[in-house]
Amino acid sequence: MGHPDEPLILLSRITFDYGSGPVLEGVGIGVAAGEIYGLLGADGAGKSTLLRIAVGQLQPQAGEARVLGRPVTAPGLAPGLAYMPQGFGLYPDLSVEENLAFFADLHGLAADVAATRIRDLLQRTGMQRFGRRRAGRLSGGMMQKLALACALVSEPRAMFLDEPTTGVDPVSRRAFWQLLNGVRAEGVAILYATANLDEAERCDRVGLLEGGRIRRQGTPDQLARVEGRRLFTVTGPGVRQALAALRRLPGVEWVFPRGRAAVLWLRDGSGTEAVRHRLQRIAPALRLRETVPGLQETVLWELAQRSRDGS
Amino acid sequence: MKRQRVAAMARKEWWHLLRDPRSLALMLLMPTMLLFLFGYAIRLDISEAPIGVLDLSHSAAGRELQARFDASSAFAVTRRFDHHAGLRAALQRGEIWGALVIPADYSRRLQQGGAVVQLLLDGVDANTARLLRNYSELLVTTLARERGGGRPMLTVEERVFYNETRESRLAIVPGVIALVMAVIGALMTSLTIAREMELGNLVMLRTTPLTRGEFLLGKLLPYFVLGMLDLAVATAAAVWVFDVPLRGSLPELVLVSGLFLLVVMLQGALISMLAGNQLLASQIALVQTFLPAFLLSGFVFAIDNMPLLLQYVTYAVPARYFVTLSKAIFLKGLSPLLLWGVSGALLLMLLVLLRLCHVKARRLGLGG
Repeated sequence: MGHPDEPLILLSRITFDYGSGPVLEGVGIGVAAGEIYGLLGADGAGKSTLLRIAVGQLQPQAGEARVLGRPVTAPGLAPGLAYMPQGFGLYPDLSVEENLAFFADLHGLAADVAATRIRDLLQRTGMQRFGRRRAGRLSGGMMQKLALACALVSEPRAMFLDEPTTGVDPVSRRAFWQLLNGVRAEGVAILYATANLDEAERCDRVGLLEGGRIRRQGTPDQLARVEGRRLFTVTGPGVRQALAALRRLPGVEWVFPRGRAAVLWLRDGSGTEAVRHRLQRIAPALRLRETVPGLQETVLWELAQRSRDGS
Repeated sequence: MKRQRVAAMARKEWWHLLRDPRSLALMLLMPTMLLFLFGYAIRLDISEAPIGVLDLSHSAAGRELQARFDASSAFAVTRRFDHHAGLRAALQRGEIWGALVIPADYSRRLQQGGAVVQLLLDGVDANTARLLRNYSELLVTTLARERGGGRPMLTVEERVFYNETRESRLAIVPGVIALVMAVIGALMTSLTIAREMELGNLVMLRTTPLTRGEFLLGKLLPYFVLGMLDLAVATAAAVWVFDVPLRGSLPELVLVSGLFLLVVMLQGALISMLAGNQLLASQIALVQTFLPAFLLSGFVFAIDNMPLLLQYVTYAVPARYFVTLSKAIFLKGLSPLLLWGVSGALLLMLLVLLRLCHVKARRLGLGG
C-alpha cells in the first residue's frame, strides 16, 4: 500500500515510445480524491496513451503508474477503477438496463445490490424512463451518460475518461458535467482527457500536455494568469477591419478576433493610455477595456507563441 | 473462473443473437438450406440417363445387351438408330447423353470370347460422362461374366463402398453435416470478438475483472448451444428425410460433433481476434473453413486422388477428421474410439487452438 497522503491516481515520470519517437517524456500527474484533473492537449498529444498507461493497458518504458496506492498492474484493482475509452460504443442492441446489468455482473455484484445500483444510476442520469430503450436508439448525449453510468456501476474510486463528450451537443455536455460533478462530490478521483478548453475550465486542476510533456499545470485560474502580460478587449464598429492596425500598436503581443470584438495581450508597462490614444486615431468608436484572462485566451496565446518561436 | 461473469457474457451474446435477425436466420436456416441443397443437388449417381443404341449386328445377343441397358434404372434407351450419322446428330443436340454401338460381328466375336462394344459419350459434362462409363462398364462386364466364356471386355472399377444402394446422398449427407457445422461454427464466432473490437468495447472490458477464459467461454457458449441444435436438425433430416442409416451410436455422434464444433468455433474466435473487424473476419472464416471443408475434407473429392502436396494440406483441415468420423458412425456403425488416430487428431487440434486463443486473448490485454 502507498503512503496515506498519496493521490489516488499517481503517474510518475512516465515515458512512452511506440517506436517512432517519444510520445510521452517524464510525465507526472497526481489526482487526489474528489478532484477532476483535466489533461488538456491537442489531438495526437498523447492523452489517450497516457490514460491507457494509467489503467495498465500499456507499459511505459520508464516511470510508474499507481492507482489507489498500488501499482496499476496489481491484481484485484479492477473494481476500484473505471475507464471510459474514447469512442466507447456500449452495446447498441442491448437496452439501457441490460448494458448496466452486464457491467454489474462483470464486477460480480449480487443481484439485489446490482438492481439498487442500476436504479440509482438511472435516476442520477435522468434516464429512468429509458431503462428499456435500446442503447442504439439513444441520443449522443444520453449514450455518453449511459457509458458513464456503466463505468460507475462498480462504484470506482478512480476514473479515467478519454474525451467523453466528443460529438455531444452543448446542452447534453452540460448535463454530463452535472453528473460528473456529483461523482466528484463522492470523493472519486477523475482524470479527464480533453481537447476542449471550455471543459478544461470546469476541472479542478489542469495539465497542458504538449510535445509529450506537461508544459504547465495548476488550477484553471493559475494557468490563465500570465506574468508580465495583461489582457484587453477592443469593441466597437469596424473592429474586424482594424485587426492589422491593432497588431502594430506599441506593447501589443498578440491579437485575435472573438465574435464582434478583438482580444489583445499587452506587455506590462505598456502605457494603457497611450494605447487608448492610438486606438482613437485608428477608429474613434473603438473602446478598450481590461479583461480577466480565462484559460482559453491564455492557452491559445501560449500555443501561438510557441508556434511562432518554433518550440 | 467465475460463473456469474461467464453467464453475463453468454447472456449478452444471446441477446445479440436474438436481436439480430440476420445472424439468427443464418444460424437456423443455413444448415437446413445447405443440407437440402447438397443432399439433392450433388449427385454422384445417375438415373434414367437417356441413351441411344446403334445395333449393327441385328442379332439376338445384340438385342439382349440392349435389353440389359434398358432394364437398368441408370439408363433409358430413348432412341434407336440405323446409322452413325443420326446417332452423332442426336448426341450433338443433347437428345441423348451417350450411345451404345454394337458392331456387326458382335454375336460371332462374343462366341469366340472377344466381343467389343463401343460407347459414345457426350463429354460436355465430364462428371456425367464418367458416371455413364462406369455404369456401362459394370453392366457389360456383368453380362460377360454371366455368359461365362467371354473375358471382361472393359475394366470396371468399384466406386462406392459401404453404400449398398449406390446412392451418393448416403455418403454426401454425413459430409454436409461437417460442412454445416464448420461454416456455422467458424463464421458466427468469427464475428463475435471482432464486433467487440469494432465497437471499441474490448478496451473497457479489459478494466473489468473479466478474465480471458471467462471471456472466451462466455462468448462461445451460446454459439455452441445453437451449433448443437443445428446438428440435431441436420441429423434428423439425414435420418428421416434422406434415409441415411445411423448405424453407430448417437451419443458418440453427439460427442464427436461437439468436439468438432469446439474446434471450428475456436478457429473462428482466433480469426476474429486476428482480423479485428467483422467484414475481414467473416471473409477469412469462409475461406478458411467453408472451402477446405468442401474441397479438402474428402466430403466430395477423395483425398487419395488429390496431388500429394494437397493431401498433406488436408491434415490441417479439421473437417477432414470429422467427415471420416461422421461417415464411420453413420454408415459403418463404427465407434470413434476405434478410429483413435482420427479422434486424437481432432482433440489435438482443439488443444492447440485453445492455447492459441488464450495467447491471443492475452495479447489483446484481457486479464486472467
